[in-house]
Amino acid sequence: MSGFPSAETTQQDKRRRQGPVGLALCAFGIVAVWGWVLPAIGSLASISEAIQRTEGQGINAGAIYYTDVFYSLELRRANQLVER
Amino acid sequence: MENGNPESDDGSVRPDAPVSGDGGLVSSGDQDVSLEATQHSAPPRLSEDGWAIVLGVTVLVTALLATWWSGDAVAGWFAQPGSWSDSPLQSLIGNGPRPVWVGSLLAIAFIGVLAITALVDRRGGAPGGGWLPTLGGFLAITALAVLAFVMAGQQVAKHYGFEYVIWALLLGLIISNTVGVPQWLGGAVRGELFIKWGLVLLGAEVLLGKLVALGIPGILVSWFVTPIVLITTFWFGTRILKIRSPSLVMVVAADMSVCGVSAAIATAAACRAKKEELSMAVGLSMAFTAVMMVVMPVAFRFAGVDDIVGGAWIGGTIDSTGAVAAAGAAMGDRAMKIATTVKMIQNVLIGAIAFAVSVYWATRYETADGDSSTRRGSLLAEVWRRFPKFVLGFLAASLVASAIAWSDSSGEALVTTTVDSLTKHLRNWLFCLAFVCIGLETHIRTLLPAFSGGKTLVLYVIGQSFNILMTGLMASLVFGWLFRDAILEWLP
Repeated sequence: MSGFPSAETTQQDKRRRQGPVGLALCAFGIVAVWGWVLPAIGSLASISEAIQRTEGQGINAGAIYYTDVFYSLELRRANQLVER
Repeated sequence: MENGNPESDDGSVRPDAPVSGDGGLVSSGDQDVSLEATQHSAPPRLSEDGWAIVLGVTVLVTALLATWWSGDAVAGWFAQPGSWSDSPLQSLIGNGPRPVWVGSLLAIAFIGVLAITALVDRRGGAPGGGWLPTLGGFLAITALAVLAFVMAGQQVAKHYGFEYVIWALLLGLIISNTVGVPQWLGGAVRGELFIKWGLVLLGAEVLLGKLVALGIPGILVSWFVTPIVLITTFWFGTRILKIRSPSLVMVVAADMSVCGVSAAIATAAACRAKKEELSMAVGLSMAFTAVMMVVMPVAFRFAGVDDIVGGAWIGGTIDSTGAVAAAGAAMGDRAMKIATTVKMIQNVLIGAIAFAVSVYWATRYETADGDSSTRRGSLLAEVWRRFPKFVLGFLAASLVASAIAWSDSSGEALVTTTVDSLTKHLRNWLFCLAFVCIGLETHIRTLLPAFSGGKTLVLYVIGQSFNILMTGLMASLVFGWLFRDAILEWLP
């Protein structure tokens, strides 16, 4: 019988309406966290000091393999040029 | 319908039902539909493993030749977005002689040309499988990968060891669980191919000479403790906790006992784990890494643990390689040197572990197509049929790179420069693209079975506790007592 939407169609309609809203909320959350929350945390003295220490030693704390741990030749060479 | 995925009437594909390749990582769900199963009429094409080997070898040979020809000038040719503190744009500029965005564009263009050729060949006339839709899809997932790198580059996120893979996964999950994956994107969403290709490139970084970097102390902490913890955790998960999926247990055990995300990716591909299982293992690992890298140095200082023993202990237990260096650095230079060297040995062990797991799985467990009960031909032929062939490319890359590096100092410089300037950036891009794809193919509710009602968390906690205990005992014995003098001489 036509005229009455099936449960599946109603569910799809609901998801189609909610999808963009959910995406917009997630995008807002990402912008808020990366734009304000994390920079604010990073500006705390103790955390800022720890970050400076790690970065100062050329450590990439987000490395997934040992070849990623220390910053690359490119950066090392640039740093050497600066030191000279 | 596309590859078994339910397609909504707005043309998008929701990840309720999975897309699967020919073995390797497969999706969970009521029905795993392989690409081959949907393409009975298509002419035979190079398998996904075959493409991974061809692409990996092409990249490695090209990169080695380019470095041999140009030397250090290759530095900066390829890159990926780096760290930033105030403005995300900093991650695209960087501090090197060339802007990061130039290296990123070159890397993406290089990967894109090869990837699109492979993807079009694999998909043929399937929906979203032509040249133009595949190019569009590739550019779309690349945009998400760039965003994932930028998110990972934020100094605080990076400092706590949250690697790009988790953000790539998150972005994919957000898209697939809100608006769904548009049909035109389907041709490029091939996480398995990117992972296997990336693993073949990773093979060139598995230099076997590094295994003896610390001599007997390194062998005892990494070669002895790591397999014991891996096997015990696997036994505990399958026999005591009775977790239904052995591949989930293996991926969590390898992730926790070896070296975090890279080990999880390698073993997941070797034992053909489900995408959700890999995602679960990576998520657990990163959450615990963030805690352990802060707590361990503080606890060791409080308990008066020596920096040499502490370094070895940190190197053997914290999952993520970058987090090991950061935690070691928090204990001092000597601790950092010991920690990163122990971790490096564990990193190199993933070659042997991935091979052992793939052989074990081929002989012991059923394959993705679930036909373990039906043997075709001899046992050897059956093992060969089930064996994930891309592992051979991974091993060959490792053996050849190790031989070149071992030959003389110029050989070692050639391999180091090739990896450092070229292939590691491409490998990072491939893993990032792979995790974007995994997120796009995963529905949040399919992640719940991978949690096994909390058993996965229990497995991780018990396994990691055992790892901490065993590594602590061995580090105290070897680094604190038996070989202490030799280690002190080795340190600068």
